[in-house]
Amino acid sequence: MLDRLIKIFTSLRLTIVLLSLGMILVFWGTLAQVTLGLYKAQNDFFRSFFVFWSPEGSDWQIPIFPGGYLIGGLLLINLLAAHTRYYRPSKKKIGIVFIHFGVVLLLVGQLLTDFLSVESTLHLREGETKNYSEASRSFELAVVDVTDRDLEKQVAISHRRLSKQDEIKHPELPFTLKATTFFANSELKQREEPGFQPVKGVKGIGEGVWMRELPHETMMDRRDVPTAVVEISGPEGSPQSYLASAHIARPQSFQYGDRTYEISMRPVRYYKPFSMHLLEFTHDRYPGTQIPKNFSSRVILNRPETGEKREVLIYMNNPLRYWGETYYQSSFDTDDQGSYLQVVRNPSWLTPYFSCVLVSIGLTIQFLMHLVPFLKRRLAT
Amino acid sequence: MEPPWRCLSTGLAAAVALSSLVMLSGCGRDEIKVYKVAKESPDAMAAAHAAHGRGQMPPGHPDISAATPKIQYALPSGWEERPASAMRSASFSIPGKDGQAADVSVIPLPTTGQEVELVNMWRAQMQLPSVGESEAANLAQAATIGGETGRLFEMASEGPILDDKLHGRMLVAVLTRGATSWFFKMAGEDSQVTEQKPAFVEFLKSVSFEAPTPATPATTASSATAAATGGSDGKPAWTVPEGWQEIPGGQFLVAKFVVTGEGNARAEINVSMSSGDGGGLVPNVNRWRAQLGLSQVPGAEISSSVKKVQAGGNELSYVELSGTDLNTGRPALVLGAMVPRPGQTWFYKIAGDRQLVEAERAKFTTFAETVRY
Repeated sequence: MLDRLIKIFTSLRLTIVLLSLGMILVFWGTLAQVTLGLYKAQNDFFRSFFVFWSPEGSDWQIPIFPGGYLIGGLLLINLLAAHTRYYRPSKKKIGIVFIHFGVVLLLVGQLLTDFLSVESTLHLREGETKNYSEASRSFELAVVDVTDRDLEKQVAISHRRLSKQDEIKHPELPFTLKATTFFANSELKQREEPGFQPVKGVKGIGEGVWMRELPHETMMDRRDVPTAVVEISGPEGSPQSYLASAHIARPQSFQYGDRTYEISMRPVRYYKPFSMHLLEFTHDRYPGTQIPKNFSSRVILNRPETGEKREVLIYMNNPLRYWGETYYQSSFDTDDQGSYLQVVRNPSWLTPYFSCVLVSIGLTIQFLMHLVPFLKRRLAT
Repeated sequence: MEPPWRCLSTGLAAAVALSSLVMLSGCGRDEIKVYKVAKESPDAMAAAHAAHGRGQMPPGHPDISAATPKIQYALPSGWEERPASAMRSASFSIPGKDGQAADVSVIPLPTTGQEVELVNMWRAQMQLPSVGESEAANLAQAATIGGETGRLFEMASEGPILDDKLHGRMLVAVLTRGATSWFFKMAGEDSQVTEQKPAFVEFLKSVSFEAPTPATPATTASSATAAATGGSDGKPAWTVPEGWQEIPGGQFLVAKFVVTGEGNARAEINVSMSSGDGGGLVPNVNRWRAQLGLSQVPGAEISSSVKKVQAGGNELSYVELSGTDLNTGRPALVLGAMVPRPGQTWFYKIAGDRQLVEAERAKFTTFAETVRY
């Protein structure tokens, strides 16, 4: 039995089957983006162990095809197992070792990228300075102590934590928080409409607002907009509730004891030890057309702790790499006075480069090992 | 031939390592993060607020912002209302010829005092050169906005800017009301905006501003004198016992008093009000118990310990809890009274040094029982 299992896991046939399944998966997953959108298709086809199908009108999840994790994982096991089984130290196989190690690195690196990379966006208007970027699709409940003149203390609770709807205590907060209502995706109205429920028992701007839960958004150009009714309770007085929603752009403030706090649902922030100040955004078009030729952001990078302060020009295909992050020029405001930089933190961004180098070295060695004897034979005859 | 277990163990080790990585990376996503950051400057916030073209909402998502102040107005004929958004208090579209439509927006922003920058931003949109501060001020005409006098700016492009075929024109009326500046903007094709200008002027006159819902109800600044008699600022009428000093209690309290005794002894009296039953007797008493380091107890036990008193047409439910002050470690006593009223519940609580609370017991009960709602 064990022998048979080993035979399967080390067989070249399995490699071929997995590569074929991988090709089908990529083709199918790419087509599925038309109906599911990029993010859902990526999650359903590539970031999963199985592709599931649900019969219409049922909640069943029937696995019908291996997903990206399963195919990639099996390929990795297959490669490592075959290599261990068949490899014999020999100068003639040095090229094969390089190629295999390169492919393993590529597979592992991609998985690391999948789990460790963080993408966010830095939006700056001309003249604006920021020391944080924001997630595009995930939100957090921010409770900010704004009492002090210069500094503010922010406690950011992930929306996943908030969705558990249990009591949230933190040493930095003198009160307890609890989401008594939580909608991962929602819609708000300022008047009664069918399907909407009134927001009850809240202070501040939630009074008179109607809300309803929406299904998860799957399309690439849309996103979930969470809403929660958050109860704040503590030794001072009776509990009070506030409506915190990503629909509401401005924070609501309240007093607790002698401190002033602001509460809001905002995109997840990633703070940095430096700031970026947008001096100028430039948008060149091809003459006589509206087709963008080039767009660039001239920013000042300021890092007080090291005394670093310099001007940087970020433009298409010329990102800024700094503090383990890459800043790409990604979009701009329609009035050409604001810029969007895509911020990517990917600790394993070098692995594809290393793996390509390793595979290239391996292929070159293998090629030369055949070419040189061949040429020698030709010359000898 | 390698031993077979070696092949499998290598593969499995890799799988386990990867799974661990996956699980490790999954951890921490639940976390609560704390940042201490410098406050954003008002200029930066104004710049962020001035952002338009791409708001926070996903495209096509119907968005509203209850935080946005509201206005009332008379809708000119031919104007179509559009949904308000996080930035816009009101939004309209005026269909014109050849598929063109003028856009009208009403946007409240924090007053920054940097009008010249805004004027130059609008001029840039009309592809006009920038102007200096004095010239910008001279460009303004007086306009009546909701019975108040505001400033109206009119700008027209010198060349075709709409689809490279049509001239553009923009009208922006600005009214500063305290900390908020209101911007009424009409932009579109030159002749259409010129034609709609009288309607825009009439629209400005018809505007009335609704009082915004206060984000921070002012409950912190009430003075001891004002509270001595009560009955003002939405508070019921009461007589503050001698020796009690009112201090700011924050938004969650209707009033807060403090009384001190010998040897730094201190007790605080909190008065709060909640809509409905305020969460009910049991959760509130258990909350108070937690503040004294006492364990939670079942509802039946709490209900049996409650002493009910009729006073002034109300039924007061008294609770007495003895424990430890978690901050000082000294013996502490809590006396609480809940008073259900139509649609709301009032809470009175004295908590602090045990001997001092005992000494203040009579004053506290008299205070709670003589409040006139």
